[in-house]
Amino acid sequence: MNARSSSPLVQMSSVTKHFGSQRVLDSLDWRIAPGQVVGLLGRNGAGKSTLLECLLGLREVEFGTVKLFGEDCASLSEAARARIGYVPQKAELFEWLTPNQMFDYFKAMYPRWNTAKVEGLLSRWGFDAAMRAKQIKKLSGGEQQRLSIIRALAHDPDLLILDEPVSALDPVGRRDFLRELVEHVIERGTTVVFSTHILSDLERVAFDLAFLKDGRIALQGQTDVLVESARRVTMPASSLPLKPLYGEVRRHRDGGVASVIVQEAGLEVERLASEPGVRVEPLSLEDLFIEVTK
Amino acid sequence: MSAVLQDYCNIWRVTTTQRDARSNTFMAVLAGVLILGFAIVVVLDVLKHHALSIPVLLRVLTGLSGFWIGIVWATLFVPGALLLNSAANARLLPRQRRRLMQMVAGGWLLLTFLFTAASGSWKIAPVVGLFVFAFAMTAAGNRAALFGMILCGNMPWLLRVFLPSASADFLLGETAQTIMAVLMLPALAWGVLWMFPAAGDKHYDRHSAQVTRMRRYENGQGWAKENENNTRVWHALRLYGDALRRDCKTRDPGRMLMHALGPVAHWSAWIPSVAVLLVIGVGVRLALAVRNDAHLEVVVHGASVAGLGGFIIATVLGTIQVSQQMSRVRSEQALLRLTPLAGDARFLNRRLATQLLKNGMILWALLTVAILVAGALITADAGALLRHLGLCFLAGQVAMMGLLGDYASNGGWRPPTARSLLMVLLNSFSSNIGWNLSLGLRAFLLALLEGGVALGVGILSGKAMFGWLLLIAMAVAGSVFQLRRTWRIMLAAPPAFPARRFD
Amino acid sequence: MTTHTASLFSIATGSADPIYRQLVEQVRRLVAAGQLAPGDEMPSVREIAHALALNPMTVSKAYGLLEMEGVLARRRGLGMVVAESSGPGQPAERAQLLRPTLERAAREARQLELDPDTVLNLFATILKEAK
Repeated sequence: MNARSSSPLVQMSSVTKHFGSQRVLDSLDWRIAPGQVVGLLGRNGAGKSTLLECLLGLREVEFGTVKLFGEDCASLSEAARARIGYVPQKAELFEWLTPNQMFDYFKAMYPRWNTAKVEGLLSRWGFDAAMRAKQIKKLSGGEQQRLSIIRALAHDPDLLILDEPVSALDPVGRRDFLRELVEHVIERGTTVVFSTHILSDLERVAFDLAFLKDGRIALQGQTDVLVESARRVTMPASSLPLKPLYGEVRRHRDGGVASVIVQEAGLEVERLASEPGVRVEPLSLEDLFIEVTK
Repeated sequence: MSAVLQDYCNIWRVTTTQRDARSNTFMAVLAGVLILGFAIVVVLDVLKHHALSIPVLLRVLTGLSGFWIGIVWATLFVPGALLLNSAANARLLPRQRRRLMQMVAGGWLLLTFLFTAASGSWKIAPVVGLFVFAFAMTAAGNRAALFGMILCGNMPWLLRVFLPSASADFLLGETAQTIMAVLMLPALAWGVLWMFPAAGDKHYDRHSAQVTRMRRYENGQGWAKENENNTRVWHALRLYGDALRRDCKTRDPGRMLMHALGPVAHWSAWIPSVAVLLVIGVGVRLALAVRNDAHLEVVVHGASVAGLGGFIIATVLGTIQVSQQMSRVRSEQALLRLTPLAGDARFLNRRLATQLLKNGMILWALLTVAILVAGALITADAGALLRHLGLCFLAGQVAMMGLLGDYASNGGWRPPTARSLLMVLLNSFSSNIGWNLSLGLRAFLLALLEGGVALGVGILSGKAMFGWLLLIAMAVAGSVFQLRRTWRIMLAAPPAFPARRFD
Repeated sequence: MTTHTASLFSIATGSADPIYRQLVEQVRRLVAAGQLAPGDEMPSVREIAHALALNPMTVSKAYGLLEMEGVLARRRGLGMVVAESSGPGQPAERAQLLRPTLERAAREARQLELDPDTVLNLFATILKEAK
């Protein structure tokens, strides 16, 4: 394995972007270290795709800088571009070509191309010779998505950006994809940024998580730590302290009952837990997602 | 309002205004333009005859209203109606299918009546009926119907050329026309029943094919032939595949980038049409040689102007498609921008501009040569050939105006969700790039100006040839000027891929 | 001395327990139950990651924790093996495994506002029934 610098692979500083009058990214800061596998979470329409497109320099930002491999993303060198793999959200790309033609085309665009890997993936993921000669627009959504993924992996990238790559795959397809990710991508030390709604996939594979809310990275950290430390404290509304608790993410009143979500159970929570009528429960990732992005 | 009328209003609303928010504007603007045109005709008529010739004006009015109804019916209503008639709706929504069929048939009858009345002779009723039907189906994206339309329009002179004059006269005569007029009603009934099936396995397939076809047509992705299975491939697609393979081997960055636009924007897409044109040219020449009829030659000569004129418009459309396509394949462009071969973003625009220009020129040259060859085959008149050449150059100038520019700009090109070319003109008013109202107007006015000057020169000097040569010179100068201007704009603009930044 | 495969483990996503903790718990239970004998070879990190489609770092974290606790030991050349000192160990150690379940029961007891004696009596009854 070649020596990796310890400087962040992806560095976004104070990135701001508007769509008309709406602010989609608001002074967003984000750093991704080499070898990290980060899951990007957020509600529909929160701007995950926009964030990834800005990250790759496909959209201009009004303010802030984005650096990939230490280079400004608007003027990436050819070497840097050869190290990036991108699976866009829209899977039905180049639909007028057949898979064979599409792979030949991309092979000509990249200096390094792992033909053996492409062949292996195509045969393992159910693409026989007949299907490879059929136009992509005739394939199903799942098959198109799998082609998209193979295309991104084919040139052995060091940075892999995946924008909802498995939305059209059934559970078997998803498991195959995760296995491929674990066996060949993560083992090589590739940095992976993964935007998806399928939390079970993220729990398995993403070691870090980032929640996008209101144009910023609202919460970021190791998956295990986030899930383990987060707590929901339910109590009668009368016992609700006025000041926010340490590590509080949000609070919610529903008639006579109040609930507070904390990132970490501090001393105040321990104290509250001993009081009558107070429940402290751990949260699953799904509950955490719902609470953080509400 | 009676329940039936309410149904009709409901369906009308759903198929037109609720499907496309701009359809109201479109209908109003079209009506305005036609009324303006009518007013101009009235004024000209008064000026010329110093009196209003009511019958003629009535016919013009009928024709114009027929035109308005026809455009609205065919481009807005019929596609919407076809969409509404999905398998589930046909079976489960109680009266919808019946009402749709009634409205379509009613519109069809009305249009046939209006056009026949406007022409003043009821003999053309069957042809008009067929034409209206074909037009509606074309607007819904069915490629085959387009050929029906072209056939209808060119039928008279084609019949005369290819059939012995006795049979041609018979077919165009009273008895045949009467029979066809009578047959029109059952044909109409059959046509409407065919357009709106009532559930079943075949309905599902047809409906989804129709929806894809319409969506592709509305996005202007061209009319790729339907492939039932993967062994029957469109011939031009094979040509495209070969071109793609060759470019993959040479790895020329400019050409590889252009492949992002797909086969529609590639010159190979025009090979079938060119081939058809040449075949028709050869066919007509052979038929004329066999028949050896001087009178016929004149007829054909006249008709060829119209036929080839259509092809000249096609040259404009062809180049328009290239720049149109840029705005549609944006996700593909994003992927390509990230590849190493695409090179530095600073040089991306230069590469693209060079390639766009090359492709545009090749396409234009191909079509011009085809038109000249076909024209030479049909009639050996040098004057006519010069005319065709002049029109080709003019069309080339119009096409080149929209070729280059700032594709990245957000306020620029808006892909037409139009069902007809008219909509293209009604899109956004920004004049950056792309075929919108302002660019269309400018192109049209410039062409008109040059045409006027050439015509003037021709009339003054007495020799039409000078006029046409001058037109060619002006068109070339105009093209060069426009291209230099837009070239500079494009090179100064941010990277063109992905065009319009995904919006 | 048996070599175990990754089929030893099963994980559930969507629970409040992170995956590495589930792996740790399972190893502890298997050792306490005697299914993992001292000296047995554990499947490698790669093997488990591949079989369960998990990030290898998660598996490493679990193994690291178990190594620190002394349940597993790292042998050069063999990878991870079950440590000699572990095994169906002292009752006190095994009792620790019951802690999470008892903590949950204690929380419920507090919600139901039961006093400790009632709860302990109930537990004793249940244990007698279970014999």
